Amino acid sequence: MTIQFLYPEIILFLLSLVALIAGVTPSLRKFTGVIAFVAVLSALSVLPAASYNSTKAFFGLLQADALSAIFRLLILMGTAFIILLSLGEDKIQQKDTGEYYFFILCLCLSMMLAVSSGNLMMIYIAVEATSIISYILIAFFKNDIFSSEAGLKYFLFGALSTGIMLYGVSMIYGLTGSLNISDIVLALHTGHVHWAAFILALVFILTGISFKCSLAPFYMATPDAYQGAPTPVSLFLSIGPKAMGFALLVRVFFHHPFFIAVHWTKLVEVLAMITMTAGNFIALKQTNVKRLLAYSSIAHAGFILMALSVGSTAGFKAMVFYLFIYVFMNVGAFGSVILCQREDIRQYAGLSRQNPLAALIMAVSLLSLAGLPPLSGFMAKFVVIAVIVHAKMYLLAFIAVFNSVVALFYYLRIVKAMYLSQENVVKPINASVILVMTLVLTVAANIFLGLWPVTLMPHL
Amino acid sequence: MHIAHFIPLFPFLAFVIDILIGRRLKIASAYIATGACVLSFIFSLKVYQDFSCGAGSYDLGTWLVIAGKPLNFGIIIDPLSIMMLLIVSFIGTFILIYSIGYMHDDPRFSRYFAYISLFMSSMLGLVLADNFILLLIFWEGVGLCSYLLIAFWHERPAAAAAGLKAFVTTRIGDTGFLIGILLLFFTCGTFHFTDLKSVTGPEPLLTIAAILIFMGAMGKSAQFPLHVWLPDAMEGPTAVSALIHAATMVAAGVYLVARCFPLFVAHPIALQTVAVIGGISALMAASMATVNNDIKRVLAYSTISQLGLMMLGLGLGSVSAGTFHLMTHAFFKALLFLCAGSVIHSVGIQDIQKMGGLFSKMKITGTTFCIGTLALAGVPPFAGFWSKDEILLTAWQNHHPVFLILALLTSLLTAFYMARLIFLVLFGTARSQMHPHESPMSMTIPLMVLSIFAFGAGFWGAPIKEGFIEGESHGAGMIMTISTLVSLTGLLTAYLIYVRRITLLPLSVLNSLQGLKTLLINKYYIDEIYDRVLIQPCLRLCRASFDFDSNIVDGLVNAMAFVTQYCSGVIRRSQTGLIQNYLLIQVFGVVLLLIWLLKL
Repeated sequence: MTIQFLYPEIILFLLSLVALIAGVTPSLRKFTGVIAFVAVLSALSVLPAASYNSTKAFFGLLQADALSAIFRLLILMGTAFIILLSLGEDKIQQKDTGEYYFFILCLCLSMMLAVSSGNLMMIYIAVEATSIISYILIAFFKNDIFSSEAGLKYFLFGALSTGIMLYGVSMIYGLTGSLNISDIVLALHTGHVHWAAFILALVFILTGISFKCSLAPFYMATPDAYQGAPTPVSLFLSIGPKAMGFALLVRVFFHHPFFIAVHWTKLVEVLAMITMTAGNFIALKQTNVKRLLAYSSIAHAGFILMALSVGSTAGFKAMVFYLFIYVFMNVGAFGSVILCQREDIRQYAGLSRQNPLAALIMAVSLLSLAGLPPLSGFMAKFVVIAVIVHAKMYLLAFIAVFNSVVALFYYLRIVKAMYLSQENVVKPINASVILVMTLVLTVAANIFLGLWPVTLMPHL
Repeated sequence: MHIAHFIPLFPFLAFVIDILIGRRLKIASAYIATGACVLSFIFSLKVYQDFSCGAGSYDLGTWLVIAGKPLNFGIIIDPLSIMMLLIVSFIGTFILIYSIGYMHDDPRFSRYFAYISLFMSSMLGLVLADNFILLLIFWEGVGLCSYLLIAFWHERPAAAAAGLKAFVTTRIGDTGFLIGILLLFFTCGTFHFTDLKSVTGPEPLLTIAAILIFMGAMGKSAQFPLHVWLPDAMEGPTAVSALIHAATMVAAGVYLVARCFPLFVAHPIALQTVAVIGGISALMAASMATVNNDIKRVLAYSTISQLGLMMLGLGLGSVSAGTFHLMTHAFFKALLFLCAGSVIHSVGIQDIQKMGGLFSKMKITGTTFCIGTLALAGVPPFAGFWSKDEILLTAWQNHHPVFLILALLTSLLTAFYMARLIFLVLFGTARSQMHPHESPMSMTIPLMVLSIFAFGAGFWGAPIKEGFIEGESHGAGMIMTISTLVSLTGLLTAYLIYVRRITLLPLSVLNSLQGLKTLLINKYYIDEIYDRVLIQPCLRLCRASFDFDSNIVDGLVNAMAFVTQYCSGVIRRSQTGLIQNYLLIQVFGVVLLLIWLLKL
């Protein structure tokens, strides 16, 4: 039973070694991407189905439950998209280094371990591994000054965050004598834990996780990192670590009724408001599309967090629903940036005439991110806001709707440039077949899930 | 998946192809549209054949869940829907064939066939839908297409205005329809037609719901007081008139009432509303048709009048009578519109006072025109006679003398104005310079086929036997005789006035009737009343709202946008790009969280 649970990770690990060896062998180097894709697909195929009975494995280091099952699926799916987009990204293909896909697989592996652990130490190690690989990937174009700068900033910022988190973990161990979350809960019930110190420790852990989710005020390094990193990596950061962060938030702060009682919901509510408002407002004035999408991803993090602030199963389901749809929308948006090979908004002028398909893909993804019906982004927002209204959190719902309106503005700026601008910017389009196919797939998913959201609902 | 699911799909595919690459396909776009329609017809026949083992409702899966109730992509297969499927696809096929000839040198040839295909698809979907929501979607699709088709020659201001008028007028009905559907849902919790037999709910609410649903039917079927759009809709291409008027769009209203019939039967006030509105429309429109001089408009008024008769039949409690007349009317009215189109195609004018003597030049069109006229006038044994007789008989047997007289008056006027039409168009001498010629084969073949049905469709009997009155029942012979006599009287009167030019009444009486004629020519001043009472105040309100919007609302929005932009600039400054600041903010954030949680 226990080893079965780990099959996807084992396969990923073994095949990532194969990818690494292929990467250092000049004749096999061009196959690393394909190997990585095969690795993810085979991991997906052996992924155990979601079961609602929680089972512990490896002395409680790993935990098989609905949360881990859903987020492992989400992370693997995101990784599959990243690999496909990377295969279509010329700059990565031309760089001719085999280790790229190895790192991608490792990142995926560490995130999967993080979401399936119920032990704070294990969680910390997995999160730290995620961070370290992220630094490398962000600075992957080491001759590019922006890429290196972004990597360094992300590293410094991340080091502080995970440092604070580790501090929190050790404090909890000191207070309760355990690192397993279920044991900690027991200790809280029975023992005499110093309350203020315990809260302090939890806030430290929250800091580390918030950095991964890029919540306010811990998102500061995010825009710089997304802008400087290779575009597929930016996309990965906006999906993978974010999903992992939310899974950990649920695992650590919302999984046990005891924790929920600690006013987290109120705190999370305020954090959600600040995060989405800050993300959206700063995005308004951005002229670089990657940076704009970085702020947009911060705003979406706020929206996702909002679902959690309800503190109920319905909220959790709404959050997962949002995350799944968010993957498709974001892959479409970042993928279009790879496709169009341009970062400044002004360079998008007249794209609809130069390449109608690229413009259409971009437009659908952006409008979906903006939450316009009948696209899936609307359904995602709708479900979350419905949960909030149901919980009678009207102020939060109002701010969410207000934010959606603000967000529409900057998404439409790009659409306007593409469709209504009279200028023509002629730049080559990266018409790699894999890339275009992947993007068409995401666009189809965006439309399909918007019209038939029920196809996704029963699986949650 | 039931085979009936494919029926609306073929025309839809044709629409997609024609709208995307129609220009390159040229004439082939018409063949694609026609082929799709033929396929739909074949599949409808197949459904008809398999009907004995296949009645009922078929789901294609859940679409939405509303208040815990699933809403399915369901279709309903029963005699009513099969009858409509056959009529729509059959007549649609001939209208498409006819259009190939009629539209052949139009610059937007393929666009026309794309619209027609979408129309066919919506219409076929409409009659298959097994719940109100699905029906409403196709209902709106039909409305959209009719707008596009009526305003097809949008360079002509009259056509554009007519399209708008049709859209807005039917929209008023649709609003009621939607409210009715929702009211029904909130009182009985169902959207499904199959549940209508057993719905129960608080009394006045359900009656109101039924009447509101009937409002939708009034708009689509051009019943008084929402009939004003239909005569103007004659601005579209003639084949469109035939499609919209005969088999399809206007019949949708009658179909809707027949489909929801259990609901109406359970609520007598709603049923009476249907009968009264139908009766008023029938007589009123027939009276207006007697003075109109536009060949297509006469037929348009006649359509309103005949639809009124169908509504009357339904309202008197006989689905059988209403749907029987729907079927026969579909054939002969399509035929008449296509004949009118053939005449217009040939002579290029629409004013019947300027025509005359066309019969000798256009033998096929002339003959089929006469067949259609006799069918509409209700002369035995043509199709219209049998179905109209059924309506009269229902009125007689249910003891509604007022409605019976109303229907008889209508049929007198019908016979009169149709005879007037053909005497002025086909016979006598030409009253202006014309160079008539017979239309091409693609136009005359549909005429001939349809005329066979206009003659013979009545012998099949009513397709739906619910409340059907067999010929032998009490009073049937008498009603038949009266009806025949009334029709012949109408024909004879027209003959005397327009062919023999005999003055039937003394001059003094005629002069006093002049006022009535003015009233009729001005369509009872209904358009003028609407303009004064509704449109002008509405426009004033619109202007006021516009001023309010452009000054106050826009001002507020602009102010908000300005503030937002300003805030954006301020918040953006926090993103300095200096890692020291980032770290500081982070530490600051941690401290703030702690202060909050520990309530320091």
